[in-house]
Amino acid sequence: MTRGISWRDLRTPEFLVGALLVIFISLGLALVAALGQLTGFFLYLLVSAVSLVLLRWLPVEPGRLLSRRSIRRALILSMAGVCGLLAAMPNQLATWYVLPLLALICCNILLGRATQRVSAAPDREVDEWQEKMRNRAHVVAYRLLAIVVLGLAGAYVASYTIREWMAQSFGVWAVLAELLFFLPAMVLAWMQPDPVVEPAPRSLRATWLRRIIFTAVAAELLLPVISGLALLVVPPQISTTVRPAGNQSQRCSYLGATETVGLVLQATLPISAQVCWTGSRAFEDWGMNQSDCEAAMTSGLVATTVSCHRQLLTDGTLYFRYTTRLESPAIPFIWRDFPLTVAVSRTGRLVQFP
Amino acid sequence: MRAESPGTPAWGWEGHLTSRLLVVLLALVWGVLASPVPVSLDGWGTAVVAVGLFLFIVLGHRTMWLATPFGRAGDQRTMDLRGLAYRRAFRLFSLGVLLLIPMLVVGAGQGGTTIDWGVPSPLGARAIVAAILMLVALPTAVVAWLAPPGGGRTGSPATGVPVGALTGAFSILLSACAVAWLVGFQSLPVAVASKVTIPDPQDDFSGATCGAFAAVSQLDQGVGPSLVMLAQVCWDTKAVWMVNDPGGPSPFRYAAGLSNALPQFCQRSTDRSDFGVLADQQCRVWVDRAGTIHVTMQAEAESGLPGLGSRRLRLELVVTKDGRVVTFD
Repeated sequence: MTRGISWRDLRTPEFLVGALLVIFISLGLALVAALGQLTGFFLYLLVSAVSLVLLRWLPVEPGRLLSRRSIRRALILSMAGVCGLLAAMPNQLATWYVLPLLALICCNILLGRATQRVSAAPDREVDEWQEKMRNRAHVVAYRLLAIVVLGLAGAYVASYTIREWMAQSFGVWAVLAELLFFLPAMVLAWMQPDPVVEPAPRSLRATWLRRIIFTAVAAELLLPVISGLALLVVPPQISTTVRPAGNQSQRCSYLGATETVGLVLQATLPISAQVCWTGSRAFEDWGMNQSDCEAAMTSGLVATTVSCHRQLLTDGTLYFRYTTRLESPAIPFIWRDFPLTVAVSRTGRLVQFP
Repeated sequence: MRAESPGTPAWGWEGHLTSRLLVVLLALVWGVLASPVPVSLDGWGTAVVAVGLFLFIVLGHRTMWLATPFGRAGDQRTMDLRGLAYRRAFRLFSLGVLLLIPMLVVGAGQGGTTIDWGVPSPLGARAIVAAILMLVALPTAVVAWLAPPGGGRTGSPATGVPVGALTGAFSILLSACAVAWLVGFQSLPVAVASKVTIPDPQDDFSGATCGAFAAVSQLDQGVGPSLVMLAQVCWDTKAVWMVNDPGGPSPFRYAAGLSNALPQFCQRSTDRSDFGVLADQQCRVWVDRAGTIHVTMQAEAESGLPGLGSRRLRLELVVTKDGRVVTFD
């Protein structure tokens, strides 16, 4: 039996939570767009969000494997393990956060299939038995959440060490968010008995829409990996500006360059400096200091400055070089170093740029 | 789910609307604790929490503690009600945590000191207390909102522990929390964190070196009131003085119009004091015969429970004229 959406549906906490999430994400994207930073990376995030909404909209069936209690419990134990790993990861390994987060996203998709998303389904879509099961699951989940939150709050107040850990750890907050949104479904998956009748196996090819959405999600999950690999092979795009600068007493040049690296996940490495020369030596006017050795913008890539130095060679040539290491969070064991160099002779000739 | 029976009065002790009014009051209490405005509750936080817990006990008694692990559901209907209440409570708690995030962001941008003490505190005590109060009281509040007093029981009375005994037990438990707060206030060691920046990037005067000295003395691990010292001291091997001290050399003095003002370091504590309050704050600066400056700051910290619990907080800074920090705690 189906009926249209009424005002009563719109007043539910589930709807309000969803609406708040949509508002926060929209505001974030609007801010990014207003700052002129709406790059391929943010479009990727937007498309991913749309795919997840569509995936959520698809009707789900657990299939033969996920309908087994032992498999469901193994899934929950895996999720607990991933959550434990996330919470324990120190911030120094921040680039590795993406791997457990991706694993958690995959587990959540499987969890939704295993429980047929009963825990968050509208009342009209669940039968009496499902209603009872999800109510019981929520009672247990609430008590588990209370234990976790009270434990964390107590530890936070009691120990400065734990406070510091919580202040610096992204993982703890990610785990808390996971519990806030998925704990009832996890408890439900744990509690549900084996089905009396073995469900008929169903192929993902049942509908074209299903196939398209799953392909899109798979592509979106793979894209950060492909983009990380592309760092190794795709040549950077370089644009340069060189123009005379300075006044009558000094001969100077403004040197500007931007190196854009990567596909979809990108980074922009800049040089913006002014160099002058006297005939006996070249010298930096501005723009060749430690603070200038930073990536201007990164979208989904992690940039680390690995070297930065300025040197006056014996023949009066000014030599400035900084190297940025770029890596994709999806494959943090693969990276590439990108050097940017400025070398200006004592007569103002550009020896190397960039 | 509506569990009202035809004979249920709207108001009075038995009234369903009375329950809903109490739930609204509890939501207001939560709002006061979670809201970034005002920046500090100036010690009234203890009273606000007490009101919240009192409302929780009243609601618990009215719902026969149905939404607690000790309440017993008499029949299938009340079991369903309890399940529904927990389900709604879980979603409302998620919603509350989502609402807390922008409130924390707004709160962080308002007032307060932005100095990195080396004591991380991404969450204020108020936010933590608001989250705990919400977590503890939400299922009971949802039952009270959905069903008339008695938790919608229409037939057999609750089995297990009597409701009156449960109310008494919860009252004793919450009183024990107040006692624990007092004991912690009186006996936990005072935590002092300090940060020294030499030279002070804020002051770039020639001929002298300046340092920024920041310290915080916290009670109850930062949940209680905090005494904050922010002092800028300069020295040039011949003398040592405080910036903004009317007796110090120019240009380290206040402008003429401000010469009677208190030195900046002795302004009212800029840290939040939601639970407990600082009173009788005193500051003193003097230079001894050896040319060493002594800066002291002290205040009486009160627990926020009328007439109960107070401790003396003290911070001291001693710097010689050659810039050696002798004492800073």
